[in-house]
Amino acid sequence: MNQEIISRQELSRWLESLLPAHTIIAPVHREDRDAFAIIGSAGEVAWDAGRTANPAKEFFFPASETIVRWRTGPAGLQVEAPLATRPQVLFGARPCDGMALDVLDRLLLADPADPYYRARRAATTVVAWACGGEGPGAGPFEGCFCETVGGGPADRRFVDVLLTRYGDDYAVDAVTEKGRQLLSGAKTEPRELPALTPRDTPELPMPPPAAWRAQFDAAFWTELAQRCLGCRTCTYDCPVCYCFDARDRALPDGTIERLRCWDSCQGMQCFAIAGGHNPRPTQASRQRQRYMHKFLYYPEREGVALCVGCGRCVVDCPVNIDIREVIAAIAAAERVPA
Amino acid sequence: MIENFEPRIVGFLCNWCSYAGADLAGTSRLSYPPNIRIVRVPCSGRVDPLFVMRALRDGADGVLVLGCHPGDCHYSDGNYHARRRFAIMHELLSFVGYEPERVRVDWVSASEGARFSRVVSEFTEKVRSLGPVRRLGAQAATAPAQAAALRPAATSAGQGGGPGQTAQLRELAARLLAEGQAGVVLGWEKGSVRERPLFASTAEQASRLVVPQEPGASLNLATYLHHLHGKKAALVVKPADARAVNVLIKEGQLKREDVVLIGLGGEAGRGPLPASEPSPASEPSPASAYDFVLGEPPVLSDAFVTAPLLDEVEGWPVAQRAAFWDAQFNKCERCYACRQACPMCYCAECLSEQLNPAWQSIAIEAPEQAFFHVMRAYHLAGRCTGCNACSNACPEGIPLYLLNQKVAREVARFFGPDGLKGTGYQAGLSADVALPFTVFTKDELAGGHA
Repeated sequence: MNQEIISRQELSRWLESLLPAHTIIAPVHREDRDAFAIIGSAGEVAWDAGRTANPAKEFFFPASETIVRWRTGPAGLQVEAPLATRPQVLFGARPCDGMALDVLDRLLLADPADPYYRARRAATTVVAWACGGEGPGAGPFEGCFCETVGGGPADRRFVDVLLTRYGDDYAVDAVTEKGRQLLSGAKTEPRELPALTPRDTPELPMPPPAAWRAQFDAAFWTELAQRCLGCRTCTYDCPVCYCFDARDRALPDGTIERLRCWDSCQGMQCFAIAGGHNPRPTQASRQRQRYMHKFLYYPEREGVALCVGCGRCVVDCPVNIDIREVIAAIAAAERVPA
Repeated sequence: MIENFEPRIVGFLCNWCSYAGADLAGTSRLSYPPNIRIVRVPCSGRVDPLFVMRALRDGADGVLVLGCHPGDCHYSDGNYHARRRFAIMHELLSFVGYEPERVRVDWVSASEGARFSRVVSEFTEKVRSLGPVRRLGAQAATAPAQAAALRPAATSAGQGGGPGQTAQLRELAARLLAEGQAGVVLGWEKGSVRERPLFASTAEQASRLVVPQEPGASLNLATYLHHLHGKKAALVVKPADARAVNVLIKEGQLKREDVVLIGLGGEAGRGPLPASEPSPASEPSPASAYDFVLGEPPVLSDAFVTAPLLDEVEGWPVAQRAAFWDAQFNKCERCYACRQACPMCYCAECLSEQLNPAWQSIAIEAPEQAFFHVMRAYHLAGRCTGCNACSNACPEGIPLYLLNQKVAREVARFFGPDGLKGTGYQAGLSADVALPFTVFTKDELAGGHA
């Protein structure tokens, strides 16, 4: 297969040349884990990084964001709603990270679009690394299952550039016009490359939405939730969980700011309403909500699962609640005649 | 030092003595620096260390807590309690990077106008010399390199029970369930990526139980006791977990007869950390702590030994400690896995999420994280038994155990084994010993603290 190739050295030089005008987000080594972070030089990129511990969503939808701030001064009321416009490059994302953006776009860019997300999304070019290929960090990674939710290790649909690793070189696939333009300053050369052997992953079929609905009242949720601690790791780790809360806070200088911060359906108070009523009072009801939202409500509304199969929640859950086992359990229940 | 720096000082003054003392200073025309903003409280015992933490977080450069002299409390013992709490809080604040001189607890009576003026003047000058308060967590600092490992290694011989112990456990669990001695057995099973808690209530489930391979890296199953709704549970416990159950019993959260404790013996029963301090001689006999023991009886007091990193961080200058904790709190995402994994964190509503009053903003940013972790560590004073579940549950690998160990060390420095005056208090060695913040001794911690 004849392909355009770029060396790592050239990629590094290219990234360095982008730095003055772009915010570059890339995987870096951080203590004992790899993580997406804003880099200050191309030397920080962890080329052999595996799946990052954090998803990329914080660079589009930050954990904490001031959406509007105001203060009264001599000039009267001053109101400010800052929008991020600096161009950014998400480098070293995986195809599932790209797919996560597509999943979020369906909700957050639909009318009425979220202006904060839209601004960051429009300013971003995604340069992804295919899973597979040759060399460390190729994947698949523990707990991941992108095929189940319609993705794939070399899925090019939701990225601007897809790089496939061959040792110290990368095959370049400029998918979009945005990607081609960003790449215009990089030197590539054609080379004959062997086709990659597809990876062998265990099959995990996704039950249809109806199968999820049928299990709404199943005792399964209570059993599953027994060991759930009720922490928020799975939702904060998730590249597509988007729940948020907004509240105002006063700063010492008299400025008031409205903050939008991540919230989590696993927190006890997430659904609490005025008067003290909590429509999802048990951990079982909150666990069920998490999976029903991902595999029933969101697919019905947006046409795709609210899950990209990255496996981060699988490896980080302190009590090993495994979303793959939930999917398998619903599939198994579907096979049992009622 | 910043030129023309005028420190902002918050003073919490007891209504009966110190506020009247301040009044007397005023009517006597004694001058004192105008930097202090006074909040009148009914008693120094009303001053929750939370108020101090909040003041510091929101930009107070110093906090002064003044109450009646010990022995003179209008409510007879409020200031004795305040003295105990601040002895611990003070050490904790210093450990996370506040200069200890920024917080002062002292006694001023209604007749001591001159003393009030002097204390405020001295304190103001002291804080002026320190400069503006540093906002904990505000810098995205790089952690100073430390020699000792961030995550404590599990016990050197950290291999859990072999097949023998596991077989013993399964048999015991099946028997407890069959005989109705327990409605559910809480233990561990093999999971898809790690061992995980198992609620075994049938013989089939009991046959899946395993003794954890690395008990020191596991959670504390006692945290689930709050959710069992009256179902009698048998619990597989490490020594630190058994001690946590003792604290819960002392706090009235459950009765000893409501729970069956299955102690992990031998290597599996070792504490979460390698021993670096000798165990005290007074160990309760394991028989009183456990209903059943798998293997050699473990030693309860083995459970809480301190990590080498604690000594290292303690030895650093205050600015280095601050940079270390800034870096740690910057990693935190406020997922609350630590709190949820903790058997001692059973409040129906955490102060971190309380709406009225809202002590914390919902912001997921390091100063809020710092606030939460410091207050949580303080709330565990005399209660944490060192099970390490918080650190083990933390997805970011933050060494939260250090905060708890520091507090436990100070508790042991100030309070005796019976919770009263002395040294060597250890939480949860039995369910009969008083909790240090519920008792006091009149002649302890003399001269106030700080």
